[in-house]
Amino acid sequence: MYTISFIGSDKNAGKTTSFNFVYDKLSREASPICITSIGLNGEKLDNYEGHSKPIITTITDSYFITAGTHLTDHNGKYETLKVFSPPTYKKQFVMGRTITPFKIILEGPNEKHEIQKIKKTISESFNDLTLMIDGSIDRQFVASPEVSDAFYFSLLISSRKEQRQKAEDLLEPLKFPTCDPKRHSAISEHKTESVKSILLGPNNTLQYKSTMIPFMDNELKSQLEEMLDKECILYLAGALTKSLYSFLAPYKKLTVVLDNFTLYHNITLKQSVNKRIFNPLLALFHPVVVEHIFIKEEDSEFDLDPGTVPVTNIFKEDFHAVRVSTRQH
Amino acid sequence: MRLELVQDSIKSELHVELGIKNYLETFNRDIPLIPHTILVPLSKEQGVAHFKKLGELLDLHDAGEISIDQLISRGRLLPQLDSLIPFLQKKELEQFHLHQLYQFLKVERDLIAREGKHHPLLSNTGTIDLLLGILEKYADGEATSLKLSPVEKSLRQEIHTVDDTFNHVLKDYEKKVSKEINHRMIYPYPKSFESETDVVKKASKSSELKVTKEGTHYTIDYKLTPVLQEIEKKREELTTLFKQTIDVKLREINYEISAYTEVFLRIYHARKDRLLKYTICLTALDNKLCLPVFTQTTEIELKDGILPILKENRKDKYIPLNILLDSGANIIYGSNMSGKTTILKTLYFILQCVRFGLPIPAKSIKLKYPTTINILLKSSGSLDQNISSFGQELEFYSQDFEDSSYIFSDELFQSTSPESGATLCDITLKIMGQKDLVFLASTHYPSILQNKEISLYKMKDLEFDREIDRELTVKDLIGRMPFEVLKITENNLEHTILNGKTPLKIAMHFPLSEEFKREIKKKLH
Repeated sequence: MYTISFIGSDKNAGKTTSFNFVYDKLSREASPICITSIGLNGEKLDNYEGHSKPIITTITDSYFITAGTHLTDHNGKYETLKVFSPPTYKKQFVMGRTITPFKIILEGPNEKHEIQKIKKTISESFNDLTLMIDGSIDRQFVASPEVSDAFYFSLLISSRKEQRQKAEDLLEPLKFPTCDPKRHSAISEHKTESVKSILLGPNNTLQYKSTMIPFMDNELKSQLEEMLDKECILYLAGALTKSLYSFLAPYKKLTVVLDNFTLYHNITLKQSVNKRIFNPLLALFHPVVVEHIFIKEEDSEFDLDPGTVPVTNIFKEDFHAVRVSTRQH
Repeated sequence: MRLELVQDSIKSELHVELGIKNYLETFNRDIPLIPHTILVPLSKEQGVAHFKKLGELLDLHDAGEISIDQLISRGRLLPQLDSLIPFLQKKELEQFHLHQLYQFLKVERDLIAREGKHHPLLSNTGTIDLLLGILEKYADGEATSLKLSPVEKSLRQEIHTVDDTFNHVLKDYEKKVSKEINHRMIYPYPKSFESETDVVKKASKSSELKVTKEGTHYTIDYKLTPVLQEIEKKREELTTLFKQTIDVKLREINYEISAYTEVFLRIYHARKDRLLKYTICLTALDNKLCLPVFTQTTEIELKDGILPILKENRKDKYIPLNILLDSGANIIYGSNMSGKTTILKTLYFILQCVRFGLPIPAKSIKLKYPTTINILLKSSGSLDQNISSFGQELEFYSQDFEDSSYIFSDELFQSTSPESGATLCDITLKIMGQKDLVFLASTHYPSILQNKEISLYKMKDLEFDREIDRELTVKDLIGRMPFEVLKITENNLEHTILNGKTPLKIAMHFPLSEEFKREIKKKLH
């Protein structure tokens, strides 16, 4: 089973539009497709800014996973394939196959273990399925390789400083190298689901590891202070926050290995931290595979560097000409 | 399936020390229908009936009339319906609920075939077929989709066709709009702009769009063509009609099913209970656990009783407990580290298992059903409650102990001066000896051994005279302790009292200073 997740740099970055577009495209090119989301998505109204947002219409013969409560109006239009019930799952989730298209509110599971369990269950019957997850940058587990194989990014390109910064920050980790195999295995030796930080000294010797949220971990900071002039590696499985970013900035011999790209997005508010004086090398433990970037230019033109990832302005370009997946189906 | 004891039924420190969690984990099985069961203490009637049923099921298994492991294996396929039941009771089952219900009924029917006359609700099994009949009448496959009449099917197809037409015409409309304003609009969602951009200016001139201004915000909305408006109206009408038709169908299904709801719920709960019992039985078979045999008289006869967590630590050095305790007061006498407290804890653990309906890690146990089990272990008092260990002990004995209780007390009244302690011991033993309960206390006081009214036991001592000069560590010493309970009789009473210097001999094996050891040796000779 191949899983692709959709991440938006901001609210109204056009994520659901991109999702609909890829859903439509892949349903024609590669079957079968199953759509779901992390938590509630596809609401009719964006409550924050009061704008209407595109909702998702299921496509005949494609699959979906959503909370049973959102299927009340659609009886007779789908076939029930599996029901995932509490207490294993927080809510009752239904996997169905569309008989007649209908507008669906997607509400998939909100926890990593639930997604993993659902994936395991459905892969037993639908191994060649492509699972599309309407994701969220705030749910860090979406970047875990057990959850997603690849991503589609939606970026809001705006002249507003904060929005622009968010788009930049989402692209920035694409430039980070992947942690080299030696360090990768040294980190793996100490890494568990609950470990939030690992500090390795010269020759990858363990200096410190903790399950505390890194930016609140004072012991981590005092351990780091002792390593100021030494070659060391800091693995983080918690957000690289503004305060942690400032704290780490002077370390010249430090490599900060972020578990995944979602941990970088909190740097958005780093107005006071000049990127040029951030000395450590940044690397990713789990590399990020981005299949495509969709942009929504609000009042500014796209001038960021996405590397080799194809970019499409879904609101302007002829989308029939867009190739959305680099994966060999 | 995960078992847990109801909260606060056993003090948390004791829960951990006795390894209750580990023992409960031996019953774990992946059974979706009973993912999590909280065990509550059973009353005498419930407990006796529960173990009687377990015994019958094990007998049926032994006789080959049922296969417990196969029944569990099939039972694993039963879906958990707890979140469906409120919908069933309110007659509001949705389409996807029917599939879940069908899956349950199918497996239950298979279990009926396997259990035959031993099904938990034999007279109600016909309901399963009746419910399956209703589902098969209204739904296709494994009740995965609703069975539609030709008219309903054609209505659904019509919606599909109208939808396709609408999308086709809409695409042309959206393309036209996109060309006009150089920006993609997706019907029916308007777009907002914070200023009068080029897109807004172009949209203002378009006959397909309308632009409204509110403050500094511009909103671009659609002016659908009459053709699109007409198709959309038709689509809405058809969708509403289809929904109404399906709602009627679901009401009919719910109505027909509701006639059997009560019986079905009885079957559902009986199945949960039976699967729990099968799981307990299977764990008993796999781990050679025994079921208690209940007597009318208050007593315990335990053969090869095990405290699993201790057995796991001591491995092949572990010695199971064999003990026969009479009604009334019982005393166990023995030196330090001889295992008196372990005996109290093992008995407490085993009796709690009985009270919560679990089989016992022992060869056999006979006892009167334990309605109340109390234990008082050594403590250094409680700062929180501002009470000394002596105060705690007196508080413990302030309880009104019911008949058929089992009471265990460690180092009876050693929390005070030897003289007063011995007096309080005598009083406690006299009172407990008159009640219809089992009281077992450990003690160091040799004077108690003179009490003819109580049953006396002792821990078999290590032959210290042979070990005294050897370089044995404390761990070695514990390894050599016999951990065996002996009845004190007239014949061995004198020898028991003479061994009162054993604690001094034990002390010689601790890393005390040479000065310390010299002084102890003087006292021993």
